[in-house]
Amino acid sequence: MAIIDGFATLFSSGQAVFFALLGTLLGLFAGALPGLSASAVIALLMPITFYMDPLSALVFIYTISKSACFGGSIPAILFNTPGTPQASATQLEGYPLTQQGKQGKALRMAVIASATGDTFSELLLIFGAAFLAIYAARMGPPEYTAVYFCAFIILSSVIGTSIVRGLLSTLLGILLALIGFDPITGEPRYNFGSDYLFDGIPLVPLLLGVFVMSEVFVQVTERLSLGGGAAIAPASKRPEDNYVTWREFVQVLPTMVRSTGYGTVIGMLPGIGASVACFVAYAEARRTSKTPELFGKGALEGVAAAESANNATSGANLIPLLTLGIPGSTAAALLAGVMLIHGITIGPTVFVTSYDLIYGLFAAGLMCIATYFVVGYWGSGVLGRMITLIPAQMIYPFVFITCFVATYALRQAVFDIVLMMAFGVLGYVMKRLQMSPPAFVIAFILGSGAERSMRQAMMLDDDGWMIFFQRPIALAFFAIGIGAIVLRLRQTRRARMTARQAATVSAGDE
Amino acid sequence: MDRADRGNAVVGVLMLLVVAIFGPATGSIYVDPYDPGFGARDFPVGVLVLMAVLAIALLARSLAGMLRAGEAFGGFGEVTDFVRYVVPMIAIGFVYVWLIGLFQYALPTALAAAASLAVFGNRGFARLVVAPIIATLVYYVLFFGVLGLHEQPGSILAFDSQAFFQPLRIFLGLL
Repeated sequence: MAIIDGFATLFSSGQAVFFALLGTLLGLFAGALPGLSASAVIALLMPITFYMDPLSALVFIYTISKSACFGGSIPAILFNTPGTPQASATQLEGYPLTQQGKQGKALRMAVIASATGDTFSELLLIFGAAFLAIYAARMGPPEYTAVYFCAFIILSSVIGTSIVRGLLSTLLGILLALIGFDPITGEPRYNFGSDYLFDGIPLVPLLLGVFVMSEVFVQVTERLSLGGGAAIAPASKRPEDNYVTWREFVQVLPTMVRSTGYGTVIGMLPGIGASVACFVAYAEARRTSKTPELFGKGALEGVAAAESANNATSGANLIPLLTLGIPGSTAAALLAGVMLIHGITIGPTVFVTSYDLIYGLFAAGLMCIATYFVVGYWGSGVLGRMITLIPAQMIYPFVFITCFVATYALRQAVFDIVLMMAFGVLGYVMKRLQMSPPAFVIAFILGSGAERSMRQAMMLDDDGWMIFFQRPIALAFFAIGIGAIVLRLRQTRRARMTARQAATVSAGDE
Repeated sequence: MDRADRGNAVVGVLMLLVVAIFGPATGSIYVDPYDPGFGARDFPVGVLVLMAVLAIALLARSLAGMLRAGEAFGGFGEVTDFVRYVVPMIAIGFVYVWLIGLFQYALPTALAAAASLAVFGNRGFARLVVAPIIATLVYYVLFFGVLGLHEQPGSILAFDSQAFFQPLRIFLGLL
């Protein structure tokens, strides 16, 4: 079996095992630290991966993103502050449990649910992605154009609060991806007379600027409202309040299974990440619960639903990346960046050209789940206490300096540092204006591929656009994209009408 | 004018500015006269047109909102925050880069770390002197020692960090 080969590849490299363990622990810590997202930590550490062998580099980045997803639940449960956006739903039930002295139970439920969701998603990735890749390999430029269109539409319409701002974020990402060489003619364009822009905008300064430097700017303006000094409520002395009983586990199991399903399906769609999955699963768990009155007051089912769903996206996110070459999330986009830097061709052929590497990565994913389960089950409380000892105003200045060192490490060019600063300001402005930095970054990564596919598709047929109508798979992807935006528009209109009705009613009352 | 309208107006103006910068440059993209199908300018033009249409729509909607509300501009809260906190960090960044050109990496890193710690509200000898020195040592050993990064000589202070770290790299088996 391929996964056995993967374990053999992983364990034949001591360095890869070391970085898998280090990545898991770093991810747990990064996820647990409020304000510092997993994407920021990955972007910060990306330049170090240039000096690693490809397997260690991929394993390092992948394990950070996986364990950070669970790590985010620790402060959400203990301090009512989610470490990552995807833990926002966990805090709704986790923190009330902490207030009742049941933080041990909540944390253990979170780690059990996270590991369950993550394992299922990882197994689907291991056994399903290669099959999908066989079909994906038969796709040509028209189908790829449709897939890119679908990804851009979902990215724009689902992430964030406004469809138009989402679309503009995506278009800006595509536009900046056009700087450099024309993919068909090879002629330079949009370099504005600068030799530095001849090859296009380098990925690392953009990632560091948009994800990390912008976060430093946000933190400095918000004067570090999050962070150190928080105290954990005293734990209950009753032993059954500190672990999950077998009866409780059996009760939440159906919710966990359903939520894992939601997370996996949502994770497979490009652009929709764990933050959406956790709220969908949480809302469904509340709707189908036999005890809905407990929700909001510390329902264990709520913690299980949110955590199994958000972790179930982490393996599934890689399916569009490895089968179509399209990253489904920010973490997958960063992984795509590492793959490109190490010369690994992303797409369906990766299962043939980089067989050892891909299955080694999957094996590391399973090892990461086992590691964070063990550390999380017995050590979450300790990690929570460690976070309270770190003053946030000490962390961000060093993150700021690390951005410079990490950018300089890329190719020792001062221009890259200036570029990183510029993207830091852009990321900050985008966050302040509620645009979508993840949509911008993913669109930047996909932009040139989308243009190449579209132009190649148009060369295939004398009838130009008609080529897309002759390909059923392409039509299906176009339909999914249009359907996604229509659904979102209807949802937005309905929300606006409800708000207007509520305003009319309250005005009538006055 | 509520917060959302103001945000939409700013996004609209910024995006139109981007279109104004990239638009003229699109005209100079080389087009192969024998290029079949979609030309080299068509995709960028499509992106720019879509951006302009959405930006104008956003701007129009926000201006309509402003007229409906009949209120004055809501103030410069975010801009004040930006000038007060973000601009000093950007200034530290640029001074840091300038100092690297003069003194190489170590000294500017310690100074920039101390300055950014101060902007974040840290005070005292331990946080403003000891912590930056320790952090600089860690960065320096990791990036220039272990990873073997090349450093350009500074115009005032110049030394060969690769030669300096050679014994360490030999000890670690990296050379």
